[in-house]
Amino acid sequence: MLSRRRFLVAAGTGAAGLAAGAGAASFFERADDPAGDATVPFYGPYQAGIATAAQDRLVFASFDLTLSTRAELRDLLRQWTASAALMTGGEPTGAVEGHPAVPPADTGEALGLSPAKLTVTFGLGPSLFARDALGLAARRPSALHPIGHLPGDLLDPARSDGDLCVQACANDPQVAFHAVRNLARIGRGAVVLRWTQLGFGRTSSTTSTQETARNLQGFKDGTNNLHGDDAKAMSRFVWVGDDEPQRWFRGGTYLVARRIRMLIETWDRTSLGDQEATIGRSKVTGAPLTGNREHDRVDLDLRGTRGHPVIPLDAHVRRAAPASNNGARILRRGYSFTDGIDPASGELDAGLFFICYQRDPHKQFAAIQGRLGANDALNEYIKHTGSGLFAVPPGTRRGGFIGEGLFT
Amino acid sequence: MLPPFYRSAGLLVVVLAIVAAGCGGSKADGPQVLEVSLVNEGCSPEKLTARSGSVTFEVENGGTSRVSELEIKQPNGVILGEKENVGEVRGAFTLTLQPGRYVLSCPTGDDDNQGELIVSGEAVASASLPRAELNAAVAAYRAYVADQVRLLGKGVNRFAAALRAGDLAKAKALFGPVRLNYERIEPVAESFGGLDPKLDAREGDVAEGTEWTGFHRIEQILWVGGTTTGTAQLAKQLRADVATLEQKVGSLHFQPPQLANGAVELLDEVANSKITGEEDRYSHTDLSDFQGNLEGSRKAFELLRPALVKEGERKLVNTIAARFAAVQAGLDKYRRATPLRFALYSELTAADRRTLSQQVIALAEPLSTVAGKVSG
Repeated sequence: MLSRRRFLVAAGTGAAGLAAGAGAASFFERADDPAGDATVPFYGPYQAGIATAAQDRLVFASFDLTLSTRAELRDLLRQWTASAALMTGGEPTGAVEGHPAVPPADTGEALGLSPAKLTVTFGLGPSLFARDALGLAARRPSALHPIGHLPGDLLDPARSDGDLCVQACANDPQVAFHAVRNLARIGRGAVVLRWTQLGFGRTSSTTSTQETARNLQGFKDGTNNLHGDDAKAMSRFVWVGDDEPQRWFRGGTYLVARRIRMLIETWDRTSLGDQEATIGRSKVTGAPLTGNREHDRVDLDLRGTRGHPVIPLDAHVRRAAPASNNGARILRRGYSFTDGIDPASGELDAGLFFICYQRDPHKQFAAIQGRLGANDALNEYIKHTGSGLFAVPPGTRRGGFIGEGLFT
Repeated sequence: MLPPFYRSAGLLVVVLAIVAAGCGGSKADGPQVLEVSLVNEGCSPEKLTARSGSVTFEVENGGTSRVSELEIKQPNGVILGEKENVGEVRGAFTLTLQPGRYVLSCPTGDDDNQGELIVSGEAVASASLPRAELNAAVAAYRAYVADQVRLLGKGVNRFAAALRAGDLAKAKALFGPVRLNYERIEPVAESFGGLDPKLDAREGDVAEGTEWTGFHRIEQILWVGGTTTGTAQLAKQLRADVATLEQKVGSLHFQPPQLANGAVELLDEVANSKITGEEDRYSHTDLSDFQGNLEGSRKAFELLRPALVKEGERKLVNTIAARFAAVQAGLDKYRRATPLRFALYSELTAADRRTLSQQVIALAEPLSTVAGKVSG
């Protein structure tokens, strides 16, 4: 039987119908998203949160397993999938007002909020496949091997790696936090949080209609990013294809996360000319130094009156360009972060939580970063302090679960 | 939480009417909801009546900043249920009440302004619950509590004797082991309101104008002062407070959900004050307290186990039992052949503490669902 207060919560979003004297059934429908504008479909051939137009906020979590059997892992992935499907649809994971003597099944902080385009994307770390007790070695995706040390890395193990990851993105930070919090809670006894990262603002545009966002250096970031609505490019650079021997992983992709601390104070006292030469673009317009508008061509060959390249040899835009990396491209989906101050120096601990997706992390991200780490002018202003590599399984259909292919 | 709009009185009436119609149940059989408003003078209304059985108390702030909680107590002062920090948000809790008189208390800060709750009707026997198993659990837990308090009394006498004799080494060796009995039943002592602070307050927890007494005051003198001087009066007070506790627990009556919630509260104690090392901050004997909390929690769970099994909750029981074992195994790594029987907490690294914490959290989550299985 419904208690009065529970009824009020259930009826809350249907208040318009109530006032209009509509039929009882409508009292329980959500009225805040009639056209589905606030939801991103959870089910599909690919996981959501990759090709999806980048939402404004991120909560990222990495987990270590405490469970020890395959059956427990399967149960966890099943429960996580079911809960993610509910939450991305704007539903709680369970009753907030259930039995009065029991803690609420869902923690409740997303009640009454819009689903805010929430997506929840799951990934599997290399260490998961190295756990003998799970016997998953034979299912390891072909390119899921640790990236290893890259030039300039100053990685903190407490902010790196993990057996599983969850990327929750939404246009409301509380909705994204609610997702990770409830998944962590559901996983208690099976997994423990290893590290988390909040991203407060998107730095990438991932569709052709999104405006390019600025990162904390004040520059437009990702002007030449891959676009999730460009199916051909996504197939070529992001989705794992039919050449993957692990059949279950076809339609998957690889996520690389890098916590890139920006030396904000140093950057802020760098002249505009040096900032623009470091990036290779105009700070205000985002235009390459060889053009006038943001989307003008990045001409790496153009030389100035004294014969020097207009875009310096160590400019970030040159070093990261596909032309400098054998045509390699990645889908960037990063977020700005701040974690307060560095206790040692009193400087801001802030920067870019870089996330990228690709079909081969070694040929794409690691190859590009290997060159950037060695001779990108930007290195003077950044430190890579955390890193994670995860295989992101393909999507699932209703009734299935993410990672099901590990067990069939 | 509801948007303010839905709290408007007019809509509330409409919705209530629909619930009454929609549920179709006659009011006499339905769940009882008693509304209490907190006002400057205490509870409003001051007198309530109910039928025996499940009663839900809905508490809201009626515009006071002086009163923030509602307690339902037995006449002897034992708190059966309470809702604290009622501010902007309404609160609610549910109790299964037997016929009798209860105290309705909304403490105003100055005095316990007490109202009355009269419950009439038959003694409650819920057909769906395994009554025999639950009654056995409650009786056994009552005996367990009495045992622990008696042992605590004996231990405190030995501790006080060492302090009187000025035997610093002996007093320090007894401090941790004597506390073990208290830690096993800590939530019971806490249910007597003022008694737990007298016995177990930490420095900084004591309200201004109140004297700091109890175990931790003595701990500070022994470890920081390096002396027994100045402990005689405190030891005397400690013995008197433990004697009061012993006397009070004799009249205690438990309900099955209290056992379950007490088991969770003991783990909350571990998570919130032992893992941080703040409980025994001078002696670092926290792991012994941890063991006491864990044993008390496990005892309550083991007593409820037959009832849970009878209800078909075998999977939950197995999960909880396995996680109790995992926490104990984690703690056993720090066993030592000393009077304390454990390593000092200061020996543990941050990573060690985190591992213990994660094991406790993994256990407390499923344990927190037990109360709902053993209440009507």
